[in-house]
Amino acid sequence: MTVREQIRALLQRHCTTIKAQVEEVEAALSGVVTSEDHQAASIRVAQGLTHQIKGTSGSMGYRETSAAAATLDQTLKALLTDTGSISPAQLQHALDLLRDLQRHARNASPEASSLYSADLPRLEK
Amino acid sequence: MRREIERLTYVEDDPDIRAIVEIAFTQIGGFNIDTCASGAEAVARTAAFAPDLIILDVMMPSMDGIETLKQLRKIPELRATPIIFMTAKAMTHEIEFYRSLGAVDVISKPFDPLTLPERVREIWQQAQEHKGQDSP
Repeated sequence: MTVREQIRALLQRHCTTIKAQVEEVEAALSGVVTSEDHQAASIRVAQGLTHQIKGTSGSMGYRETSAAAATLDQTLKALLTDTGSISPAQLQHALDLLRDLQRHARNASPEASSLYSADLPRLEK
Repeated sequence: MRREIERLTYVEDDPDIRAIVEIAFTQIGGFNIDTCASGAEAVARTAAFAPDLIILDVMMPSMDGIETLKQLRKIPELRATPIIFMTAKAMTHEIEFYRSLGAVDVISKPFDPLTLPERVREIWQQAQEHKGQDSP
């Protein structure tokens, strides 16, 4: 298998990973919607996941997915540092950002990664 | 003194990142690499591999990168091996904190895996130069 083939096979696998990770974020945030008692814990879980998606998807060449995850990550972090309960407007904003992240995850394909057609020979020693 | 980095231990719990970095380091960088999926794995076998450099992900379950560094430093053969942290938490104060623990540098996530071998080579060279300056 060539280096390019290895990278493309990995990208194929990573598309499945992105979708599964975003589903986990959705599940965590649904806990915020249904139970006020566990809001902070659910947000902490969702924030940890978005933080991971930001780093992983960006390093796999999915810059837009990484950027969408970073925006949601920052929003959730801010919610965790705020005192008191989360307002409906704050929660709606987080859910809107989740929709954006979900859209990127749905559209993730190996070809969408910057690594898919990256110039490899210039780096080979 | 050896002029080029040859052997590298890479510790990362995320399987996709581990795989792309392994491709980059071996196929593009030409390094001999030992990848570990956890800090515990690294502590158990890094001394035997005898790397020129160790790269640690900071956020890992069970034993994180900081604890892994502390454990590795207890192993006599690894006391002076340069260590790089890799993290998505790379604010200035966080980078200073990682350096205070003994890391030679910090690589932010996300990173470009295809240029990572060159970046690591540069960091290693700088670490070698500092080591040379510190020697009598």
